[in-house]
Amino acid sequence: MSADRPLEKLRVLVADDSPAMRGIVRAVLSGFGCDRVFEAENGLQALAVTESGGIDLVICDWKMAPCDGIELVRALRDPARSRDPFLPVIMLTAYSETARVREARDAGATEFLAKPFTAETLYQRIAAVINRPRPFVRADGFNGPDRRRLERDHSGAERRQARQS
Amino acid sequence: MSQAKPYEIINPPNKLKAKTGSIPAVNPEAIKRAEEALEQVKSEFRNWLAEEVRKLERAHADIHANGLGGKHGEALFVVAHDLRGLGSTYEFPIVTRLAKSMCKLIETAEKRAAAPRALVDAHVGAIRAALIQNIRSDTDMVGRELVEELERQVIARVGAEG
Repeated sequence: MSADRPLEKLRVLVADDSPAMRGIVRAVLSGFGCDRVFEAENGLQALAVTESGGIDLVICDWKMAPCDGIELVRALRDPARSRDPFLPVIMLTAYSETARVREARDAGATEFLAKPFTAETLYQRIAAVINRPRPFVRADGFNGPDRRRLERDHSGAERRQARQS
Repeated sequence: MSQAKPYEIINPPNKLKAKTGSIPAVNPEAIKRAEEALEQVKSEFRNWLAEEVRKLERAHADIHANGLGGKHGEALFVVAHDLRGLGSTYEFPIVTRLAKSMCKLIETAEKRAAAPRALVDAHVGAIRAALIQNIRSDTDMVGRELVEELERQVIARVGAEG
């Protein structure tokens, strides 16, 4: 890995219905050394690209049709439908309300970044995905990164119980 | 006591780190290069924003012809939502603020049913005026007063969290 081009070896899929936004994300990624950027304009196209394999990271918008970002994340996390249920997904969206962050997290998004974004905030999210990956939780109704990182100092009763295999 | 649901914890292989190694949490050089890359496309920003505003105007004309209900109202919301995300990136943060206020007003079918058409029109007009008059941020006094008034009216109707 070159320090000048930290993301040089990654293959990133950018899914956004706005061609301009896809171009902006592509430009920022090129600054990080990532030139292998694939594009999709909705969730269905994004799923098709991931099915072909080789994608390391998905950066997706929320509001797309057909198949929005939440539906995309749910499909990617579904072992029955997805080639790689652990594929990291950064949700990049104009939504910024707490309830939206929670909804994205509950769908299985790895990180959340509100538009308008900066090169610095996108870098921070990618660095978090690489350097501080969360374990995955597979439970009834949820497949995705452990959501507790966002719940600081969890002090409630321990409700989880390990699945016996 | 309720029965706890079973769960499974999985530590998947970190495929990204296998390719990149640990990357610096802070990397001013990479960020500087990314900002330089953005500079290369900056000359297009105003044209791209103008195209987004044209989409807004088309969607706005549709709701005047067909009403805010159904797919026409949803289409207007989608364009406003896109503008909310794009305005600041295109160096028009006031457009992001205006579009955010508009999204709050027409986000759901229920809100669209109750939204006064004049208030929707005022948001579209303000976004158009910001672009035409090159009012980029709320440091412009007239722009600030306008956006604050629109935000006040929207909050009065749907609440601050709406």
